[in-house]
Amino acid sequence: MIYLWDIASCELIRTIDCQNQPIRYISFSPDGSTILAAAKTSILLWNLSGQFIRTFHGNVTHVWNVIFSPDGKYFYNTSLQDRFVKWDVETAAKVFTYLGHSKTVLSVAASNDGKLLASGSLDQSIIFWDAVTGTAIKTINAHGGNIYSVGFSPDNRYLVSASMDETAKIWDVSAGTIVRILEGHEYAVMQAKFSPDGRYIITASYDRTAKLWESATGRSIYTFADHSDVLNAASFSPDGNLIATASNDGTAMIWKTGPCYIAEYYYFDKIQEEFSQAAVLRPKDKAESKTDYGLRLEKGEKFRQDIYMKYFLEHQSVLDSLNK
Amino acid sequence: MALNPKTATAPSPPRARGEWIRNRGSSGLFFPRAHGWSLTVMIFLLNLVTVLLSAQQDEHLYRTLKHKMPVLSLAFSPDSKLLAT
Repeated sequence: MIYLWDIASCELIRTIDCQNQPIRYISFSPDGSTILAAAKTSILLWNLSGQFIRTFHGNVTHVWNVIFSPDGKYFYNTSLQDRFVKWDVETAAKVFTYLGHSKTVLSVAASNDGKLLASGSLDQSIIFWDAVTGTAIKTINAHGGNIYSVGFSPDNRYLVSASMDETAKIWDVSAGTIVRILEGHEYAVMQAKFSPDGRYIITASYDRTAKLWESATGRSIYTFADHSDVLNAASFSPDGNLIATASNDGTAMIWKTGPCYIAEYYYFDKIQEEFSQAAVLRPKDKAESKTDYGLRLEKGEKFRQDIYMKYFLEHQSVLDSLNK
Repeated sequence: MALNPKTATAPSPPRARGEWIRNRGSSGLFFPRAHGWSLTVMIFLLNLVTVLLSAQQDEHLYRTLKHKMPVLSLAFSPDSKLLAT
């Protein structure tokens, strides 16, 4: 079953019956008009009103990952085999099979310009592919365990990979070299994704937490620890305002993003000092009416956000000066 | 009067209130004697602790979407208005 939620109200607006097959992966088409789902023995396509469009058949077992090409004309899938496949969405025909890994390929990602593909495998390697010709360009012995997820940065310069070896790693795509190792999880990292502005990475792990990382420094700036079971997935919303996490505890959690994470990580003491001195953030006075206190709470929240933004920008200027 | 040892049931010795008795379950742990009122208080306190712990959720949490099964995957729509799980 696929559940479709309205973000603003967080109400369930539609359920889509997937022929009683468990769904391992979901992907929206780039124009947002269709949903592609990786089911156990097939790949299924619906429109957003829940109308079934077609099934993609042909030697498809235990489909793990499905992603659209940036132009939406094709999609790629992995399925517990040592290869992955490119499909034509309109004709439902297989276009190309990418051969090169020695073990099961679990994850595949396409660069935003559509020129490159990256695949991660149980053989612990990442292969970069020419998306058009299907030629393997570069192979990296990337991790000390299965690779569960790969994803390009918005500018296509970097790739982030997530592995059973409890790390995520950032790679320079053109050089094929490692840039940062994101260490801190205590179990397998199942997914890692860049934020839309490329400043952050979110990781989901079997240690029951998701972590927010600063791409530029590789520092873990926040840990989301409210799930009560292992995490399978995490992602930023395309507008960058939210993070969603998916868990075996039967919940998906949605988290607010913002400058507060960076500000509190680097300037916690200064921020607390400013908060403690601000009259607008003081507790309710006995002489204060409920209306006045309500108005002050609103002003107080704006004050807090302004303080966070001030220190966030201060940190960005430090990073910019280091990069010059 | 002599009691038949096979059928006689020895009366339990009186215990002081709050006395710790050995739990005869497999765990071998010790629990306070289960007086009616103390058991009620214990359950109430346990519930209180559970409620307090669950109330301490992360301030950054916006919403929790509950499902009947494990959630394996999710995807935002390109306009960020929808979430598929």
